[in-house]
Amino acid sequence: MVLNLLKRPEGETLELARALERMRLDIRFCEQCFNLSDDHLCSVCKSPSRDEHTICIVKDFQDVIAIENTAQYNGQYHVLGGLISPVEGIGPQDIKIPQLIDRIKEKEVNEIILALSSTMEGDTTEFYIARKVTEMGVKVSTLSKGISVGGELEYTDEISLARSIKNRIEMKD
Amino acid sequence: MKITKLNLNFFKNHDALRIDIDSDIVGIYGLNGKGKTNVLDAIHFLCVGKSYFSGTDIQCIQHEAEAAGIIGIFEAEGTWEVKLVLQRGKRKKIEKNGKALPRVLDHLGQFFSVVIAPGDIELIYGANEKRRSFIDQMLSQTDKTYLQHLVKYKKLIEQRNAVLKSDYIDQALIQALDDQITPAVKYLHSKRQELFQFLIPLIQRFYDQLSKGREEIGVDYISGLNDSSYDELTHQNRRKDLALQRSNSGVHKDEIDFVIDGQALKKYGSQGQIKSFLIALKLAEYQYYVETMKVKPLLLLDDIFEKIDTERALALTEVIKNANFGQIFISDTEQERIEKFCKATEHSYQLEAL
Ligand SMILES: [Zn+2]
Repeated sequence: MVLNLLKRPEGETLELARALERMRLDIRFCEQCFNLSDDHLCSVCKSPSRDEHTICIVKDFQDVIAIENTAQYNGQYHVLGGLISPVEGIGPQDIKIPQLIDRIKEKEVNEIILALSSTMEGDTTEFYIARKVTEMGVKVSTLSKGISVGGELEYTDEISLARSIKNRIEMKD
Repeated sequence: MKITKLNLNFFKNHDALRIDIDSDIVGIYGLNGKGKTNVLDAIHFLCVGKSYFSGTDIQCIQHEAEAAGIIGIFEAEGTWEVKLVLQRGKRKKIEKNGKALPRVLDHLGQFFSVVIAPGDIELIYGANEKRRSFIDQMLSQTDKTYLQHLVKYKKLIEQRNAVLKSDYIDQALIQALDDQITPAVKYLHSKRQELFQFLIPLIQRFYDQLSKGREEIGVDYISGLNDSSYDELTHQNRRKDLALQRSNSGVHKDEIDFVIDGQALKKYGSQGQIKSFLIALKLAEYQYYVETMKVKPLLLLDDIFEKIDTERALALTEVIKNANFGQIFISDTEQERIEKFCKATEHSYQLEAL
């Protein structure tokens, strides 16, 4: 890439450099859902047409992109930024779970959809959130498993991801 | 199943060893230190992806060498070339007919071997861990679901222990782990119970053939899960878990004791009884694979004549002669003794000098 840039006119490269710099400075995290954003609220949280009573829990922003690409989901997100793994020293407090609990307390949330990878860490995080959130009287559902087996959501094809969002299963004790 | 070709490269003491095989019984003889056991270990390695005799893979790579390799041609419902490569600082690789397997665990369940070796005495005198891993090895080869639950269970217990060691213990997190441990531990426990029910009469049958005694053989399987659910156990052990900072409920705490006439074999069994028991246990393992997987495993007999008396050796020869074994590899220091054994079994045999 660098070699390629050197061949270009100087004005063009400077413009690109400025654009990159602007992008780097503008990128931040949504204050509500921790998705990537260029403002304190991301485009999903800002949109009046999105259902704010339904929150889909994902690990990172790539998962948001994958689900948005299906165009089958009209609720909001909550990006955890990681998964619980006590052996690696990552507990519930080290990812955005306390913020999720606060958000549910403040807003009228009816349903939580868990869309984490079906690894042991993903499952542990799902079971943990399910326990915490059902205590608060919120319905919890999970994507039908098997869709994300062997990989993260971003590798799942859109059709099966869309199907599993529609056919999500309610988690009960 | 049978092996028709075996190549070892820089595996333990063997720089380059080639054996072509066209017999039911292969007698390997040579002085101590020539690496007879290592040949048997290489065969076991090809079957299950790990050494029977060495704790780590690195110990199997020859000093100075960067890598070790084993290749075996198996006849087992078709011809299979199994290739195993051990490299320092890298993950071991297994190829089946030129195709690399994604994980070594995927290799389990097609090729079977049963080893009878002097070190098996550890199964009697060693810690419960030895006996647990012996039966886990058996079940993991015949039941993929068991293997999956076992791998997951071990990781979950590690996670649970890490929570118990942390400064702040989040009970909801313990619960989230227990939600996943519950189905796994239930499956593992029930399969272990079934296995013992299956094995005990088989051990008894082989024991009777090997010894002149009339002793009754038993296995005591002591598990918290015999009478309580995992949920009940974790409630009972809650304080203990917190005090010791590790999990005290589950199949990793199971105890397995071998019993003869109602008494602990390791305390009250004579040397002769223990030797017969161990061989009977391994022959029962063999029979378990025969009946559950419809295969005839390879039987690997390491230096058994050195350790067992003539009477028991003759009894074993009779068992082998009459039973329908697959291929047998046997190692010994003396050519004459091994040849006598091979002849007595009335099967085709070949001798390999190391
Ligand atoms: Zn947002």
